[in-house]
Amino acid sequence: MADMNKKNKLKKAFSKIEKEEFDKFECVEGKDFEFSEEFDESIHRIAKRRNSPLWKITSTKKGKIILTIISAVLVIALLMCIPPVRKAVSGGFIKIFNPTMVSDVYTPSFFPDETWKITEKSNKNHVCYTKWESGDNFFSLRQQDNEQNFDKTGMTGSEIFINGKKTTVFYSYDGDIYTYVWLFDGYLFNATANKETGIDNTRNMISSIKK
Amino acid sequence: MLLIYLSAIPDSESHDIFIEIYEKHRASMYKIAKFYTRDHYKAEDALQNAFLGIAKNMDKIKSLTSEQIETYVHKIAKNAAISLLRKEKNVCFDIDDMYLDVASDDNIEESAADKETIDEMIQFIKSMKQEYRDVLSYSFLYDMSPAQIADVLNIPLSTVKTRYYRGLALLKERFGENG
Repeated sequence: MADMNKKNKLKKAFSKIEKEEFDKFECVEGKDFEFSEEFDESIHRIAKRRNSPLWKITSTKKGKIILTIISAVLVIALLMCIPPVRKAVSGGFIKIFNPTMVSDVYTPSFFPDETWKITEKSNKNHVCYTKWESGDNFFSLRQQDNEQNFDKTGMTGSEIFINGKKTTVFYSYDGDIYTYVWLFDGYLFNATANKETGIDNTRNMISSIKK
Repeated sequence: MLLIYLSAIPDSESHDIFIEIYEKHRASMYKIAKFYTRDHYKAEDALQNAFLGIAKNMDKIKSLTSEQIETYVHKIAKNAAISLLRKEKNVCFDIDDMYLDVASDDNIEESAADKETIDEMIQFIKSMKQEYRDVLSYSFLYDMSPAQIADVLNIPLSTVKTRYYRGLALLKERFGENG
């Protein structure tokens, strides 16, 4: 066995002396001291609290961490029930993870019937494009978030209500495809539909566009 | 859901064991705490911390023998007292961190040569003034700072330093450099 170094030996020596002194130390309950009533009560409170489920959780480090996580999740869930908060958070996430995505996507709320389904969809490079089809009919909507001027040559302007707001819309028809272009809420919109869809359905779909 | 599950677990057994430990060992635990803190109120504070630590470890304590429980509660009382003197926060009283062999703490094997030297040291230390021994003891055994020792012994800081250096000088003179 290796010899202890001097410091450890000194520690050992002090430790033995301490033990001797402790053995001689007189301290008898009722003679040398009495526990105060407050002390007694505090210990019984500890015993009672011990049985509380919350104490079981918070008395350990792991429990405190779990409780903190659960509380944070509950708070976030409650906040996300508030629409403005939810929108801000989801918009924020979209902007962080994909800054070129269009965050406030507009879609029609009216379709001629339930057979219309999305057949194409993309959202990147500041352009959100969606196409709906029903048999031979189609309607597409292109939403661009870096608003810019557009070429109105050969197009006719008119005013229609889009989501209740009067908007100037430019349209053209080449015998096969209806094309509508307008600026709205900071976005440039371009809607197209084929003649089979019909001008009334096309206009109704455009009028129903909202976030 | 977690709270509902936990509240369904009956734990009156732990409660009874806790109270039993308190009734049976509080006097001996107090003695330990008082020995180190030298103050009745500090001893009670240390004991309160000790019992909080015991409460947190009740699930593990239930599986100990009565001898191991006694060893554990005495260790926890000492740790609580020293931690109080060192003004430590977040003291860990985890039962797994404590060596609970019922045999004496001083069962580390010593060679014959070591034993002789240690005995010699004991005799010399006992011959020193009590006031030097007290200061050196708290410093060597518990790494307490001079300020903490001054607080325990209720003496000025400068006095602690003087006694420490004089005591240390005597030890060095007798036993050489002690590392």
